[in-house]
Amino acid sequence: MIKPLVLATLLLGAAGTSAAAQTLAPGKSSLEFTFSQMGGKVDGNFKGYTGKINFDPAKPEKAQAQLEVDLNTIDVGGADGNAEAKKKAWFNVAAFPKATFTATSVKALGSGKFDVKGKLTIKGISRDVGGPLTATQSGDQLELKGSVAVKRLAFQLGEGAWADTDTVGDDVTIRYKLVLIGKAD
Amino acid sequence: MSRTRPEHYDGLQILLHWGVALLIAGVFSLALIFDDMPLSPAKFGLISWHKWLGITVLALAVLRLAWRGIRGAPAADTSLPAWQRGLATGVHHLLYLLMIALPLAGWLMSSAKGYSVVLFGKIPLPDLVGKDEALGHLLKEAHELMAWTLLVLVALHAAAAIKHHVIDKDTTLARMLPFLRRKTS
Repeated sequence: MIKPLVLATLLLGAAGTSAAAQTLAPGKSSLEFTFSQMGGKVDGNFKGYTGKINFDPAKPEKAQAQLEVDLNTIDVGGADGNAEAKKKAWFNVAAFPKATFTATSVKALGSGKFDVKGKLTIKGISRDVGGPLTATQSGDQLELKGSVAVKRLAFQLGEGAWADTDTVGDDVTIRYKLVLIGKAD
Repeated sequence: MSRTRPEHYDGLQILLHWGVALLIAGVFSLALIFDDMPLSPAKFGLISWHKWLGITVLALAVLRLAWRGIRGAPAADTSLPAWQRGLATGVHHLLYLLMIALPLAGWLMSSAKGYSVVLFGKIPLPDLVGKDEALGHLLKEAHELMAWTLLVLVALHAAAAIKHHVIDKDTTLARMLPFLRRKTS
């Protein structure tokens, strides 16, 4: 009974990877964010995320991108902070374990720069977000580096006493570096 | 370098002595209060004030040392036994050392933990070291050890001053508290 199941999973997995011509190399990629706390800048990151991206810098209008972030992998720089960030007032990971981003448009701005727009969903709240992206091709690797500015309160991140923006600022900058391997469709 | 030592502490030295004493009591109390608190905006507020007042102690300690270097400080009463004068000088040196090393360790620890200090929420201080979790933990231990050492030294320093005033009935404490100066000498 177990063997056919494993086989089916492997086949499905193989089918899944062959559909996307480009694969995300997590070891070479990073997903970070910066916010202010008591007036000082604090850096954090997410270690776990998956992405289905199809992006040919020559054909940005055909670009497709879907990212899924495992919010349990949040790191804000300390054990106390990481435990707090997963609680109900912040990401409420028990109820909303994933955040998703789906690109809706990618416009070329020239010399490898693009303007990306998309939908970011955190805690069941979807917001239109956008930001600059720089694409650099080297060999079979395409590096996508960009940032997205968001307001944490727009996603109800930090409820109750934490809504106070003097303690933790409303502005959060998300910075990503996604390394794709392979050719786009 | 031969120089006649002043007869008395001047107004600035007395003001700084008691100002720093009050600040140290405040900074120490803040640490005791926030140490057991769960993360909250209120805790962040207390931690920030602890850092800001601690940096103020550091700045004032440097100012005290500089002024002491320029103006000098009165010698201990020569009628006291040499071992007592030696002990008092040793404790004074350690107090100055800790007034500088203790806030510095706190500042280093904050940098190592990835939290920049923004003095009074207005003046960004440079990060002394890069983010390093293990170093941050080590510095926390050092900071706490120095804090308890300072507490013991301050207790010794205060007990000695009271002993000189109440039991020996000499001028030691009155040098720092001019209103205690006795008419007869």
